[in-house]
Amino acid sequence: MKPDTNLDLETLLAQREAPASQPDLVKNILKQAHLTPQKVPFWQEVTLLLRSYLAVKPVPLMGVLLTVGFLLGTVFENENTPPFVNNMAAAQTSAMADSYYGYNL
Amino acid sequence: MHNPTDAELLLEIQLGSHADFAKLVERHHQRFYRLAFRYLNQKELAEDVVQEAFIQLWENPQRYQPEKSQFTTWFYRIVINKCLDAQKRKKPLFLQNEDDFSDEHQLKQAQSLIEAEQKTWLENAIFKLPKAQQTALNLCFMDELSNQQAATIMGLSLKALQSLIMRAKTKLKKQYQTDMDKHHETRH
Repeated sequence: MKPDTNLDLETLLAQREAPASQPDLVKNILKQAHLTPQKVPFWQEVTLLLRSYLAVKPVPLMGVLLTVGFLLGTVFENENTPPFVNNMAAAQTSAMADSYYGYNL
Repeated sequence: MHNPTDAELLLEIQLGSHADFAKLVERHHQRFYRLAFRYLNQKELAEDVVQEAFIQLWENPQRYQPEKSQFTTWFYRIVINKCLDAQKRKKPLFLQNEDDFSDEHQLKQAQSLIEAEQKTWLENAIFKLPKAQQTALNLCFMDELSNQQAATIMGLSLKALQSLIMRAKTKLKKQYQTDMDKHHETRH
């Protein structure tokens, strides 16, 4: 007598099952993750830093940002504003002052 | 209680949350392990591949872009690539000889031995298939994946996937016939 050696491919393919993984698999992955630092891109590091700083000290940070904004605004206004804009603004202020004090009446 | 989606967990993982990483690993490790085992047919090797893939995800979680694909679809691809790499390090299993058997009991034993051998043969034969056919077979006979999902993971249309499976099956059947013929020739 000879055993049947015909191939039942469909059944064999359907029967391909993996044995259960070791319970240690998850433990090992998590242990390894605790030992492995994340590779964080620079932009994300800055965002995270700002976010954590804001969560702890929102008021001083806002103060710093406003001061920096004000200083930058002053520098740019002095350096970049064309003279005629300043002249126009001066003329406008003068006209307003004149009308306020009634010189044009 | 709110059960966070994979995308939500990944956002937290990007912020360094170990707890959310643990949730994601718990949720999905079995399915990726099953797939890895299909490629490698070795428990330890399959576990190594899954561990390596998850650690890579932990190190670099921003590589996943939720707007492009589902997490599992993307991660299946990563595991598949790792398995194909790991296959280069793996040695194939061997097919043993079968004999003539005189009584019923021996025949039954032989039959189950042959089934076991056929399983071994199948794993080796799948291992030797072209990578695309191999991946199609490994993905399509998994319970948790539909053929459509398998096609998406492979970046193919459903029709293309079905034709890959057909070709793979035909090749396997031919290969079995050739191997059996060779086997009988060497015995005579």
